[in-house]
Amino acid sequence: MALAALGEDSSTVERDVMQLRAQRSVTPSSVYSVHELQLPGGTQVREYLTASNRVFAIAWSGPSIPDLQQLLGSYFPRYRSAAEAMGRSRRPAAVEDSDLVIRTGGHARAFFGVAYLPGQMPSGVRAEQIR
Amino acid sequence: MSVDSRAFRLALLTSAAAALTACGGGGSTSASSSPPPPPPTANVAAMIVDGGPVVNGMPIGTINQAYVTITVCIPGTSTCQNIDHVWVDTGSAGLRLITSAFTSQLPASMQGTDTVANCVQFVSSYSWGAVRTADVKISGESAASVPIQVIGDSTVPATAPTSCSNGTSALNTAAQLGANGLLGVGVFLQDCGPGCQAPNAAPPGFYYTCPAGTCSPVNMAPSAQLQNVVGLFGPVNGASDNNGVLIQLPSLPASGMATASGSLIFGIGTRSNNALGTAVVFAVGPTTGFIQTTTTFPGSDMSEPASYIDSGSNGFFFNDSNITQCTGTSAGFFCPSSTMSLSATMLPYNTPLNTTSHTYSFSIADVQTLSGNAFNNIGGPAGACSSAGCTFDWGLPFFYGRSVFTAVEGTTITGNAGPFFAASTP
Repeated sequence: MALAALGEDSSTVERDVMQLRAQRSVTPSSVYSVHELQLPGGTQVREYLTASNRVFAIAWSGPSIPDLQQLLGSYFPRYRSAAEAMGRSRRPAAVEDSDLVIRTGGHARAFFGVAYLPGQMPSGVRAEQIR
Repeated sequence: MSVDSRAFRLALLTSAAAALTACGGGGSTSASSSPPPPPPTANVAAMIVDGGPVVNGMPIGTINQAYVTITVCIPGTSTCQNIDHVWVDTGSAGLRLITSAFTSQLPASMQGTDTVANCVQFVSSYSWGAVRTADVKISGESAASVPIQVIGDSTVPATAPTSCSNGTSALNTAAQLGANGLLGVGVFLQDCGPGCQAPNAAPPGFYYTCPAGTCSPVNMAPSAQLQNVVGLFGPVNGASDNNGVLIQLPSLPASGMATASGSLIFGIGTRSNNALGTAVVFAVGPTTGFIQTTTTFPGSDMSEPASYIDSGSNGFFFNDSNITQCTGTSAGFFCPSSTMSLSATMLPYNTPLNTTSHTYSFSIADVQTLSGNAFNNIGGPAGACSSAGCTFDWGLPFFYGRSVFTAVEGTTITGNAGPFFAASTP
């Protein structure tokens, strides 16, 4: 079973809460729900779930980068390829594909990023709402 | 990829001699530039932007990485070593050195029977190593018993935990880092600060111990964390240069240079050579280190509240869909068909409460047409916008031909409360 959340069902959010030692609060809505995880050290992770409990987007911000292997699951290798291509340049890694968008940014003690699946966004949800 | 590609690096090396001649030899400033740096005094370290340290018989071929030489000593002794090509970084805090026979003799930081390991995360890379203690000297300044990171130290597992690396690029060798070390002289006094202190749960991405080879985050009191060395400098000739740094690099021709020589000056307003003068002060967010930028490019006005001035970034990184991006080996940089003259406005983090601002002009050239190691006109897209907003990363190109100040947290300098950045005009 995959450890991570993006593209998978809500049970993987439970796993993230445990693996990341996070505290969680949930903001439900009729279109999607947001599970906000508060990580040790102050980093926040927001997982966006469809009405059928699939994770279609993730956003993070805070002093350290959360465990993206955990959060991106089967999509992690595509992020890793993009990040490895950046080398020591401080250009942030990005994936801009038709099925997967990952954008990152920030600097020491203030990092942020988003990852989402354009094909699984509930209708009416815009990418700008993922943050 | 980009400037690190083999093909581009070779082009840079073959062009180095010509560019050096054009600039009248190493160490000089270009003809039309700012006045020569002040004579060496206790608080002035020579700074150079060149091709980086020699690895396997030749310089690595780095781009826009600014270096100093530092001295580290076994604490309380005169057993010391000079380390050249230490990369100066206003975007992080703490001294980090690639491991060597000398640094392995420095006393290790322990928790119980375990050596404390340290991780530093950059946006697309990380470094991993052990915490050791050294006396640190640079120019006439010194700091005693400073916790530093020894990258690649064999007393901690060679592979960083995934909560540190996150699949990004390892900068664990001189070739990977493009330097023999990293001197973090940013706005913060420690690499982590209160976030790593008990009773908070130990966060990932900073300190670990690795009993039986399995690494887990641990707490670290701020005084035991990696320190911004500047904050620890003691008095020299009646002044303590411990409230920040001033970086001065020469103006550059649009074609770039093989070498640019300048100064890393310690202290702000502590001596005649480091006064703020007419520099514009930009307060940074006390937890984020961010200032704000606004850009008014044609058709794409933008506010960028997650901005920063970072000598450790090798370009201007910002989002502007009007500028052609490179493909192939230079992907991630801009490749406009002709050089673009642009400007952007820098503001303190707390605007509009504070209305200070200044508009800085700069250029973006096609990175593929340039040769050398020092450029004032390269950049690329910035990537994500956070819940706080988008980013303008004012990297090393911004520093050429300017005085750029980085004041640490907890200081007040001529009425300006740190942390802040300040930059001369225009």
